[in-house]
Amino acid sequence: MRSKVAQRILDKTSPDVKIFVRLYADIVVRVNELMKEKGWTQKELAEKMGKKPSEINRWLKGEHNFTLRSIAKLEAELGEPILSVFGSNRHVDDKEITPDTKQIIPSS
Amino acid sequence: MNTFVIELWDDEGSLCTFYSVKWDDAIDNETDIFFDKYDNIPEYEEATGELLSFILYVIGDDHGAKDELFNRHENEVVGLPVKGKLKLGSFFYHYPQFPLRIYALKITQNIVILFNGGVKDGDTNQTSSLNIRWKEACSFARRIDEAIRAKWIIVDEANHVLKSSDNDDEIIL
Repeated sequence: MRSKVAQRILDKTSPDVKIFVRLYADIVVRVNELMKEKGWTQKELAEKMGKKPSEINRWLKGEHNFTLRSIAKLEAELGEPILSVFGSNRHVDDKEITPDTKQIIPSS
Repeated sequence: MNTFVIELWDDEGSLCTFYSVKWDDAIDNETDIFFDKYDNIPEYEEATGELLSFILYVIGDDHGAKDELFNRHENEVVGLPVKGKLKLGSFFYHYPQFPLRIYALKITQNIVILFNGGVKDGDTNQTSSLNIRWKEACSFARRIDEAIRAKWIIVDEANHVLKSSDNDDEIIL
């Protein structure tokens, strides 16, 4: 069951808006999960990246739009993939990201 | 005290069921009133679609009501019982200068009650025109919190649903 008002609005919302919203949330959730896994605070992440804590806070609290460069910096520091593009075989440090499974396997 | 009904708003997502509240004498629930109002204002039409997509796809299907997606106003929930574990806030739609806010009560990571909202035009709820909506959401949330603790509302976590104590889908408070 879905609200008729909600269904009416969803029907006219463009697909790119829906994709953007989900992708942006995926990035924020992924970065937060990686920070939890590593036990890092926003302040510690900022120190490692040589940035002000307020800048990292803006990234993660929605006051700053992520750019590809900011995502790349986060990936580099966290050492884990945040974004995966279908068909690519990127490496983060010495790990290979497989596009089909999004799992990380050590490079030989 | 005015009576209101807690009614199902969306259960099509795999991770989260959404409810809304409707005043006893009203035709529409508070969440439909909010979305319908801002969808009909050209300036906010696109933002309305974004916020709705965030709620139904990101929370409903992709992640559930995770804390990092839920903006909890700890300092402002003065009206809520301190013993309650429920969280009242607005969804934290991650985008710069996003104009709209909708208030919500997180029952569990899989059950959320949506209220009304508005345009955030001040730094805090007190200084924004959202103030009246915030107070109303607090009032709804307080009564729902009390009803859950008194077991007038049963939280079925396994099935992501709320029921009345007599096992009815219609919950009247």
